[in-house]
Amino acid sequence: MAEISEEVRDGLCVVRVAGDLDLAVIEAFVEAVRASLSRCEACELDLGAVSFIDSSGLGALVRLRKESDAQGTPLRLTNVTEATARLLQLMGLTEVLDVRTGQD
Amino acid sequence: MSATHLPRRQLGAAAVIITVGVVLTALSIWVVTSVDHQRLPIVMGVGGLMLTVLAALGTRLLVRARSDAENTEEQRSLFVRLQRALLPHVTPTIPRMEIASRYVAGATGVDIGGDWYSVIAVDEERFAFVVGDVSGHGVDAVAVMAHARFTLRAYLVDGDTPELALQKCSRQFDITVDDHLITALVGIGNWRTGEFVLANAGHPPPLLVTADRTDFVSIPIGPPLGIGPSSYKALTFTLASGSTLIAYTDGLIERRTERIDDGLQRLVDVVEPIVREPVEDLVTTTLASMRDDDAADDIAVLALRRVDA
Repeated sequence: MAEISEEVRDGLCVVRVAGDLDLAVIEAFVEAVRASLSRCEACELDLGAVSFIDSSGLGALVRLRKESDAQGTPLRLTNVTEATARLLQLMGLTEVLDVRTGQD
Repeated sequence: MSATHLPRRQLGAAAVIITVGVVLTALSIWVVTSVDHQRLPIVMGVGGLMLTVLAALGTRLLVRARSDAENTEEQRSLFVRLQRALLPHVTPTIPRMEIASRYVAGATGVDIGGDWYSVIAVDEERFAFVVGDVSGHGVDAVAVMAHARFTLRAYLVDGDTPELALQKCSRQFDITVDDHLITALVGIGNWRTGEFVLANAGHPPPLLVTADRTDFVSIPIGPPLGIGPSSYKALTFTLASGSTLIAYTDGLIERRTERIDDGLQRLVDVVEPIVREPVEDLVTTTLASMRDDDAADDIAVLALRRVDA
C-alpha cells in the first residue's frame, strides 16, 4: 500500500507518493492532489519513491493533468525514475504530462 | 472477493455456533448439577428454547454466507459472459493468413477487465485488426471497451487508415468523464502484397518474428484515446511469408516487481525458441509461459502469420 504525504511551501504544494500507485490508493491520491490544486498556485507530484504504477494510476495522472489545465494551476511530475519515465514513454504520455526526471 | 470467500464466512459462522454451543452445554451441566431437582424441568425448557433460537440464527448465518458467495460467483460469471459475447466468436478467414487469438480474464474475483481484439475484413485484399485495452475493471470498463471496439471497427470498415481511425475514435472519448484510459494498436494488412500499416495509441509494441530475428515494431507512439486532441503517425512494413506479428495487451508482459523492458525481453525469450510452431500453439505456449497464475490483469493476444499461397 502506497503512502501519500503533502507539504506546502511558498504557494507550491508537493504531494509525495511512496510505494505502488495502483487501484488500492487511487482515490486517496486523487483527493490529495485535488485538495492541493485548490489551495496552491502550483503543484508537484513527487514520484521518486513510486515502485509501480498500474493503468488506473496512469489514468489518474492524466485526469489530474486535465483538471489542473482547466483550473490554470500548473501540475508537474518530479523525481520521475527511469522505470516510470520509460513506462510513460511507452504509453505515449510523455507529451501529455509535464515530466521532470531530476531534482528540481 | 476471492474464491476463499465462501469457506471463510462459513467457518466464521460455524466457529460462533460451536463456541456458543460449548458455553451453553457447560452452563447446563453446571445448572443440572447445582440447582434443586424441582426446578430442573424449567431450566431444561429454557435451555432448549435457547438452543432452538441459536440453531435458527446459525442456519441463517450459514445460508447468508452461502448466498453471498453465490452472488459473487454469479456476478463474475455474468461479467465473463458479457466479455465473451463482445469478443468475436470466429475471426474472419483471410487468405494466406493464419490467425490465432486468445482472451484470458484476470485470475481473481469479479474483476473482469476491458481488453479486446478484433479482426475485420475490409475489402478483397485488405483486412483490419485491433488489440485494445481499457483500464480498470468491472462492467463500466467492459461498456467503454464495447464503445471503443465498435467505434474503431466502424471507421476501419469505412476505409479509414489506422492513424485516422485512432484520431477520430479519440474524439469520441473523454477521460475526465469516462474515467478510463484506453490504449489501442490498429493495423491494416494486405494479404496479397504483405503490406502492413500500423498505428499506436499508447499501446505496448507488437512483436515481429521473421526468419532471422525477433524484435518489437517501433511504431510512433501517440497518446491513449480520449485525452485531448491527438494525431497519430503510421508505420508501414512488409510481412514476409512465414513471418508472424504478435499483438497483445500489457497484462501479458507486466509484473509489479519488474521493469517494463524486462517484461518485453521475457516475451522475446519465450517466443524465440517456439517461432516455428503452428500459430495456435505459439499463442497457447506464450500465454502459459508469460502469465502468472495469480495475475490480476486480463490479457488479450492476437497473432497473425503470413503463409505461402
